[in-house]
Amino acid sequence: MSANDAGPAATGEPAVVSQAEEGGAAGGPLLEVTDLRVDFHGARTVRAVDGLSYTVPRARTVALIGESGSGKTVSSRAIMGLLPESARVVGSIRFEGEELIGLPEPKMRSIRGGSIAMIFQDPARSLNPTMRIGAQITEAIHTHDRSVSDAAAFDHAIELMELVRLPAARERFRQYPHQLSGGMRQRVMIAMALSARPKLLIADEATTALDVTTQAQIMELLRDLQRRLGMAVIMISHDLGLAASFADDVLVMYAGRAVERAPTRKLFSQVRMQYTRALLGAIPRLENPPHLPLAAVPGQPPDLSVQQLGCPFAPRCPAASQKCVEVRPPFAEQEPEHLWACWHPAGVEPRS
Amino acid sequence: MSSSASASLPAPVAGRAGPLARVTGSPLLQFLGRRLLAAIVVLWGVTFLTFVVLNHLPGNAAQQLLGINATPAEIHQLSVKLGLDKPLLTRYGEWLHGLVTGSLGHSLASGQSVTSILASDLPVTFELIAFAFVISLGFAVPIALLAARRPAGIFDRASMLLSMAGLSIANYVLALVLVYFFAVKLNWLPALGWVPPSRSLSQNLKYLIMPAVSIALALLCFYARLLRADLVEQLRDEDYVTTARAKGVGPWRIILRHALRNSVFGLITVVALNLGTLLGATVIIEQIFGLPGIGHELLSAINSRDVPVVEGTVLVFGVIVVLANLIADLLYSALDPRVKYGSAN
Repeated sequence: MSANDAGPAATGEPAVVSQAEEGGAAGGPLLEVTDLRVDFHGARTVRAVDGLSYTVPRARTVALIGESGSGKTVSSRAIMGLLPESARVVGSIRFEGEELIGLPEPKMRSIRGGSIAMIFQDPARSLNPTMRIGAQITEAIHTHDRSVSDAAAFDHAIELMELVRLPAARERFRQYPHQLSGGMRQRVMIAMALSARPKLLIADEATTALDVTTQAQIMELLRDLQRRLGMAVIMISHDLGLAASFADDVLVMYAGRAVERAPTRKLFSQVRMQYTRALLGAIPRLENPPHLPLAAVPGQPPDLSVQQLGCPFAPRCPAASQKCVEVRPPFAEQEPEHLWACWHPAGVEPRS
Repeated sequence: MSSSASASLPAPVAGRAGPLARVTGSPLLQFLGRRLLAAIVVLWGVTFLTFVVLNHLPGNAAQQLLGINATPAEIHQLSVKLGLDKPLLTRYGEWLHGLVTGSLGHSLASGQSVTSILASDLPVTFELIAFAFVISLGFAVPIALLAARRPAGIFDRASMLLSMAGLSIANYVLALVLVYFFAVKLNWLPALGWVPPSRSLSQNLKYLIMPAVSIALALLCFYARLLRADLVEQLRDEDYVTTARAKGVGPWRIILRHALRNSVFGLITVVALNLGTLLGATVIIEQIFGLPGIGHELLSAINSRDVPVVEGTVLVFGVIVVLANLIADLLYSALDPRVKYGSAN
């Protein structure tokens, strides 16, 4: 834990946890996304995120689940202000009560890697191949606190590397990314992300490129760090199983929208939205007989450059009716803490 | 140059882990050894081809020396005296023999040793090339960085448009335009001649600037476009750039500290390859500005069929090009920790 004391976050702020308990001026959730829309302008305008709303409480893990192109990555990059210039972001993203959309770039830069950090899918490509590991970590440290001396930054980097359980930290400090395994590289990414003691960590498919054993180790590490540092995590994944094991809340996305949201336990005990159900059905099970064809969600995600009237999942949905094609189901709290957008939710008696 | 070869040649069939075996087993030395062997083949081919081509040009040195009024008997007499009556292979063999024993022969025209001619002319050409390099890279890199900072921004569009124009101007045309404005019209710079840097560095640079700019402009434009394209691609497509941005690193630091080092490889390759073109350009430019360099010497040697001088010059050009490419390869491994020559350890 010594890394925490030496961290740049020790700029007089009390520990994150106590701040959360305090309630503070912010009081509300750590992150509040309201009616977020992201359009990409090009030959055709693509609406990648279409009216997404959710909140992330302090020190909790929220999983964003969905297929490729469901808007989970785009929406999280919108939080970080990391979208290309062709993207137009509207709506509201409030972090500790402060509006991030439209925040001037220098201000946004101090938040990036400061109070909100991010790790990415492919650790083989996410680190600069021509820069030593140590230099990449100390760069993160110096970026958010220029007053740190080189020696202090070195010590802090070593502490961070030990915090993420990177073996032989001093040796690794002088190595290049290609000399490390995939799991070790992701640990380096996490060490960098933690350098300024963020209050929110966005893990964008952080374990997808790793093999299953390493994946479990990294997830365990993230959970452990989250608890020790009192940090909130947005975990982006297409893997419902991973979300079930590690997230407090799950938000299922489809075609740029939220389609189902609930505390993890509730969601998995009562899946309502037909898409979530289809996703769960697509998970191969050990008890299945061998040589069974893998189940898949039939059809393709919709073309996001075309505006839809009804439910975007309707063309692929086994329960779809004419109403689904014509009228968009509202995303609303239909049971306590359980929100979904579906006219024909599973396990609910049809209303007249 | 032969030191690494002689280091590896006498390697005895010693014990496997003997110190000599370890030295000769070093991947870098093996790499250099292979490159040296290849260089020898290349240089031999270049000098031999030059010999053959010169031999097939009409007229020989004796004729050129004596002028058009000489009688055939006089020409024959001088040819024999200069050894030009011997068969081609014999003469090439003699030249090679001289080379191996450390002599590049003597000029047929002046009788001066080729080595001394090279020694007096090479520094001029080296200075010209070095100056052209400094100008082209010195401007190309900052221009590329500024252009890549905001792709499709005003600076990017303007510089890329101008560089397209610059690329399309032939160096000798530019040379004449420069002379017209800066020497004839404005009278700021001398149009012709040379002052060695040992006498006066400021005068030296004054004489050198127009020739160097003439050579450098097209290269500058080419390098700037190349590096800019590479930088833009890195900044747009590479995940490590996103990581750096996610760390909160500022845009200039991302370009300078992250993207630049990963973008220079294309530039290094092209700069090394371009050196041959650059040497060719000096032949014309030295002629236009009356610089006593090796390019100037080469042209007059070809005209007077002065075979030893041509051969010596061609050999030096060949060595420069081979060395430049070797340096480029070594630079890759210095700049990219993933590149290691020899074994894939």
